[in-house]
Parts: sequence; C-alpha cells; structure tokens
Amino acid sequence: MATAASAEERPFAQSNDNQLSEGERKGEDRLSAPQSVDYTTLYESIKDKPCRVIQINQHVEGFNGRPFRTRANLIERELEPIHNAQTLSEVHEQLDAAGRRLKQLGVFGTVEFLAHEEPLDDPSACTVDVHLEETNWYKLRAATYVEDSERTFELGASLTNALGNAEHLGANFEYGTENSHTASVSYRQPRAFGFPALFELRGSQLFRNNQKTSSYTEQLRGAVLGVKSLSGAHTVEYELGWRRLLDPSRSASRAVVAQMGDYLKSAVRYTALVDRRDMAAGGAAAAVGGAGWAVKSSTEVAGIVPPTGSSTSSSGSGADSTLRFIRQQVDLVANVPMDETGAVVFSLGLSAGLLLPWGEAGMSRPSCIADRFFLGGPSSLRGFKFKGAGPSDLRRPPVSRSGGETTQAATRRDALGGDAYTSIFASLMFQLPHPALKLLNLHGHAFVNGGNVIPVSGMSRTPSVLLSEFGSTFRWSCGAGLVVPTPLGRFEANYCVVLAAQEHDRVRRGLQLGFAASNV
Amino acid sequence: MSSQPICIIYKWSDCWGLPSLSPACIQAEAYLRLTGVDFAVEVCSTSSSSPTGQLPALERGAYISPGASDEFASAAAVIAYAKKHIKDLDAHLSLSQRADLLAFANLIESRLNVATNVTMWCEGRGFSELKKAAYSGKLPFPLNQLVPWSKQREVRRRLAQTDMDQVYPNALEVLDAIADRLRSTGGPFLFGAKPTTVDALLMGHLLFYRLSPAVAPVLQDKVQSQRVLCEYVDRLLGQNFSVPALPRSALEASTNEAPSWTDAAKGQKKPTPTVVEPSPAEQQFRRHSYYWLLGAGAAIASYILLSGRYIQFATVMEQAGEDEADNDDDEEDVEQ
Repeated sequence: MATAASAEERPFAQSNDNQLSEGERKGEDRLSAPQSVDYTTLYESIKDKPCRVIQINQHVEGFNGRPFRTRANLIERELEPIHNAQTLSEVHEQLDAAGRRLKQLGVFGTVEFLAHEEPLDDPSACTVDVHLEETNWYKLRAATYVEDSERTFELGASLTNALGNAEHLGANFEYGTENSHTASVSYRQPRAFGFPALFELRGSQLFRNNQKTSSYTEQLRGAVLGVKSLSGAHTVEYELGWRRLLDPSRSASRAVVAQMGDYLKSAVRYTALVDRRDMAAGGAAAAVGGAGWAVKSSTEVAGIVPPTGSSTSSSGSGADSTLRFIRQQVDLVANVPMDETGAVVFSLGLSAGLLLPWGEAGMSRPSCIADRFFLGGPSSLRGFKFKGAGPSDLRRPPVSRSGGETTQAATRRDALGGDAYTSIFASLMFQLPHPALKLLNLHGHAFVNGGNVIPVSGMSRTPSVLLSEFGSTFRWSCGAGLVVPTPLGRFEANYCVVLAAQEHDRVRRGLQLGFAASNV
Repeated sequence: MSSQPICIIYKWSDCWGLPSLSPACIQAEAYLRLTGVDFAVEVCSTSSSSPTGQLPALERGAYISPGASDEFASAAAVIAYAKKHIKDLDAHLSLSQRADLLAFANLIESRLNVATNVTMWCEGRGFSELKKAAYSGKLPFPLNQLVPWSKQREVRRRLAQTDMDQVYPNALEVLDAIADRLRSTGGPFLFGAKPTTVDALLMGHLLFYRLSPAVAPVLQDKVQSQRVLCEYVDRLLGQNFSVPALPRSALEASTNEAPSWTDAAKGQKKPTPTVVEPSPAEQQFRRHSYYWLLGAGAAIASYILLSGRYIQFATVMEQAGEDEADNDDDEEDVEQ
C-alpha cells in the first residue's frame, strides 16, 4: 500500500509543477512560510488533463546484491499497458495495476513506482521510474503439524525464479508417526503468458496408513495439473493417479477386503472459495479468521477416461478399476460477534458432502473407501474417537491358538465411512477475562456438535428410506472447554458429553484434546 | 465336514484352457482338488485385489494364508496349511518315499520355479503374452502397463543372482528326470496309485508348459515331446479338473450370507454405548499424561505470575522502583 501511496502523492506534486510553478512562486513572494498545498483539490482539477508516459526507467536489484535474475521481457510484458494511459488518472490506474501484476508474480519483495516530470519541455509527458527488488532464490521449510490424528513432520524446499521466468519449483516431503509419507515435486507459474492465472503441475507419491481405523493402506502415485485464479478463489485441477489399496495386516473386515486392489483415478476438481470474513472487527472473532462468513465448495468428477472399445469380462471380483464418481463437499463457517467489544463470538460451522458413483451399475456397488467421508474426532464430531462414528464392520477375528482358548478382548471394528455426510458445529467462544490469558490467546467455549454419515451406493434402498435413516441416526454431543484458536484451526481441550450415539460408535469419554483443522 | 467352514481360494482367472493363468494358482487349486474337499473359488482381476495382496490365497473361516513376496511361496503356504488342517496327501507314504518326496519338491522349487519365473517375466514375448492375458481387459489404460511393469521389476530384482544361461538346461534336466520317474513307477501319479503333494506342484508347471503361449518354446517342446508327461497331464486334468469350481458368489447365495455392509449400517438408537474397561497399562498412561498436563499448566501459570512481564504484583515495590527510576533519570540528565 505504501508504494501505491507513493505513486499517488508524487505525480501530482511534481508533474503539475509546470502548470503551477508560477502560482507557487507568486505565493512565495507574498509569504515567507511555505503554504500548505491542498493536494486533493489540485489532483481533482488536473486529473483529466492529457498526460502520457513516454519512458519507463527500470532500477532493478537482485536479492542482497546478487545479480538480477528476472528476464527483461517478463517485466516489459507487465509494464507494457502503462503506455496506453492518456490522462493523469489513467496513469495512476495503470501504475497501480502494473504494481499489482508484478506483485502477483511472487518474485519481488519491493515494487515501487515513481512518476516525475522529466521531459520538462513537454507538460503532458512524464517518465516513470520503476524500482524492483527480488526475493531470495531458495527457501527451506520444516514444520510439524497434526492432521487426522497423525503427527506429521514436513520438509520443503523451493526455488523461486531460478531461471528468470518467475517460476516456482518446489519439493516437499512429509513423514507421519504412523508411517504415512508423501513426497511431491511441483512447478508453479504465475501469470503464464500474461494470463491472470496461476498454473501448477505437481507430481506426488502418497502412502497413507489407515490400519488403525480401517485396516488398509493407500498408495497413490500421480500428477495434478491445476489452474488457479490469482486471488485463490477459484481452482480447477485435473488429477491422474494410480491408487493401490492393500491390507498387510490381513485382519480387515469383509467390506474392506472387497475394496482392495488397483484403481485408476482420473478426475476433474473445481474448488471455489468465497471469504467475507473481516479481520478488522477484532476481538475473539479475529482469532478464528474474522467476523462474517465464508463458504468453500469442492466438486470432483472422476472417471474422465475415453471409453474402452471392449467391454470388460465379468470377473469374479466385479469391481471396475476405473473410479467413477461425483463428489460434492460444501463447508460453511460463520462468526458473529455477540457484543460490541467482540469478546464473545458465536461460531457456526456446517459441512455437508455427497458421493455418488455413476456409470453402468455404479449404484449397485459400494463406493471406494478411500473417497468416502468419515466422521469423528476433534475436527468433525467432538466426543467421538477419530473416525469413530458411522458404519463399521467387524474385523477378521484373530485365529485362536491350538489350545482353543478364546481371547477376552472384543474384536475391533473397521470404520467404513459413508457417502452422505453432514456435520454441524455451533459454539459460543469467549475471551477469558484475565489479561495474561488474553496474551496466550486462550479462550473458553461451549459447543454443540452433531453429524451423521450413511452409505448410499451399494444398498438397494429408495431415497426416502435413506433420508429417514439419515435423520433418525443423527449423532449429537455437547460440551465445554478451552481453546486456542488460530486461523488454520483450533487447539482444543474439551470435556464432552455424548447425547446421541449409535451402536458400535467409538465414544471418547471425558477429556478430549485435539486440533480441529478449519475446513475453509 | 459340514461343520467346518468352507475353503475359499483366490486365484487369477482362467485362460488359454488352463484353470488359471498363473502356475502357482494352478498348484494350489490342484492340491485342493486332489484332496477331494469342497471349496469355492474367487477370481481376482489383479493380485492386489486379493485379501493378502498376493495370489493364490486361501481363506477358511477366520484363517487367511500369509501373503509372501513371491506367488510360488504363497502357493507353498496354501499347500502347507491344507496339509496340516484339511488333508495330508502324503500320509500314506513310506519313509524312503518321503525322502524322495522332499528331494523332488526341492528340485521343483529350485529349478522349475526359477524357469517358470524367467519365462513369464524376463522373456520379452512371454511377458507381453502374460500382460495381454492378465491385465489388458481388466485394468484401464495407464494401469495395464504400469502394474505389470512394477511387478516385473520386483521379479527381476529377485532373480538378479541367477545365472540365466543355466536356467533352461536345468529345467529340461528336471523334466527328463520326472518323465523317467513316471515311466518307472507306471502308476497314474508320481509315487504310485495315490496322489501326493509333488503331483500338485508338478501340475502347475507342466500344465503351464503344455498349454500357455507365454512359455519358452524349448520348455513347451520338451513337454510335448515326452509322451508320458502329456498323458500324465491330460489324465489329471480329465479326472480332477473336469468339474468347474464353485464360484464364491454361488456359495454366499446358498448359505444366505448377506454382505455385512447392510448389517453394519442399520443400528438401533442407544443412548449409552457399552463401557470398555481400560487396561492397566492404559490407565497408567492416562495418569501419567494428566500429571504431565498439570505440570505443564503449573509451569505456564507460575511463569505468567512470577516473571513480572504480564502482571505487576505489589504496588509498594512499584513505588520504590519509581523513586529509584526518578533518581536514575536525574542522574542521567546531570551527566549529559
């Protein structure tokens, strides 16, 4: 903003010196003290006078004195529209727009424009000086975070603008405590060929270990090609991947064993984000992203492959290896401050999702377990263990030894997840009155959390039966606790009471600690 | 027999006139057929669809055979379980015959297994035939090249130590020896009138060499040139493989075993679920974690209260501090 301000004040302070120099000199003769000039009125009076930029001088600096890497034609391309300006106000707008475009490239730390009256003999011409300073060409990152009940350590390295085209090359490696790991390399190009979009190509190999909750491991190798708008509001991605589900423990339930195998995922995904949260209100709402509301919608259509000429023979396992489904997920967050000081904020979070397979005989088979929605845990349904609410199936019992003694422990169950999902969270969050606790960002909250997840495909039931089942098996919990909110999510320590649960749900009694990641 | 749960064997689909396109699956199925026990068959499109990640696999009630890295090792595990828990085909052999049995089994494992693996995975023509038969109809385009390619890499890595020149001559020697043995015993099976484990192991390899286009011509010619081997294979095929196997879906329909998915989704609404007592180790862990949290909370609280950065305690001390600060300021001004 400072650069825009500097671009705003100086042009008319200096470029209209030509017109006003006589008046100023007369003023100086009369008074010894300098007169304060009303810049706003001056600007308003001359902003429509013809003025064009005849020369742009570039002053470029590399990071910390290193050589400047960005290619000249890239900068020329972004500065080109400045020459179209005809009046002073248009010059102002074009300089603003050019500054924004150069910043969107993501390679400059400082972008400054200065317009001055350099060709003194021509009152309708001005020169623009551009000052650019680059950011560092490499960045290393190490982070730890909690995701889905697994602690993960992440290492990332990125090269910015190594070749001069404002491209970003990145490599990332994540390793989790349950042996899940992900490795990915990515290439990002902002404003490719001048288009106002960010182009991304990412290749990754993911291994996720879901043995504890659902007795299977997932390995996904593939590439993602994406186009994002520069504000981050819209994203369109195409993903092509090979997914392999295996069960090394050999103790999975029948429903999960039927899902194992190799799958081809070829999917187009569109994500839209509308964020009308305002951080300026302050108070407790600012800790969770601001007062207001935000909606994120994600639509994924999988199965975009050319149809094969030969029909597949009816093999015994029956599962088609190309994933074909439509998945829609909507997340809504609203924060309403309850009084004018903003110390108490009412938060409402709603999530809903639906997964429907398509294609011939799509609805007669269950959907793939790795795409389904799961419910339970501090993020979606407090009071239940992670993936603890929803349909489940009995695991293969351990084979009794030759002595024939039976084990005392109940056989564990696999969480199967479902196709239709919803989760509702309403909480009243308040700042704690002590200033020390305010500094720690510690708040208290009381909440009500509800949700349900049911399978849709693979069950031959009518929509009305499914809807009534969805309503009658809804799970609810309520509680209170301490929370440290951050814009990415909330660290919570809650005492929960489960009001309604179903048979076979795994309920977490008493104190539940966790990190509730924010969906939006 | 009816009280025992029924065996289910998972195998590759049938092809080329063979009961399964993988010799290891033929071995496992041959053993079960020779025992005469009832079993059901589940055909898997790829090896990762099987419950162990490897084919063949055997499931019987709660038991499932261990998945090994190699399909012949999986077949050996299936046969070992069947020997112990279903029926031991070698029970009738005398001691010297058991010694011969062990020798033949080892010979087949060390030489014929290697030769079959080499001809299926390392030979260009063999691999492409296998790929076409096993993967092309079943997996969509990029996967039907990627999945067999990754499997081929694994097999090649395992076979890195073998001497490729000796593989086929060794196999041909074994085939000659088997043919001689069959001629000398004269009986329908290798050890006389009753089938043994070695017959099941041999069926896998010989049937594959006889009928599959993915096998090296030198092996196929040897089997077809030895008439006694052809007769042996045809006899076994006719006697034991004539009845097609019962598919698993028919089995489930007959026993009215509903897929467990519907049972799990239905649920009655219960206000409180059953309480599971935590084990002593878990209770101790919980106690320790509460102590940790209390300790951490106490440390934070004491830091906040006592460090003086956030809360000023006694105003008396503050006053004294102010007086001293004023004196200090005066002194500084004087110095400057």
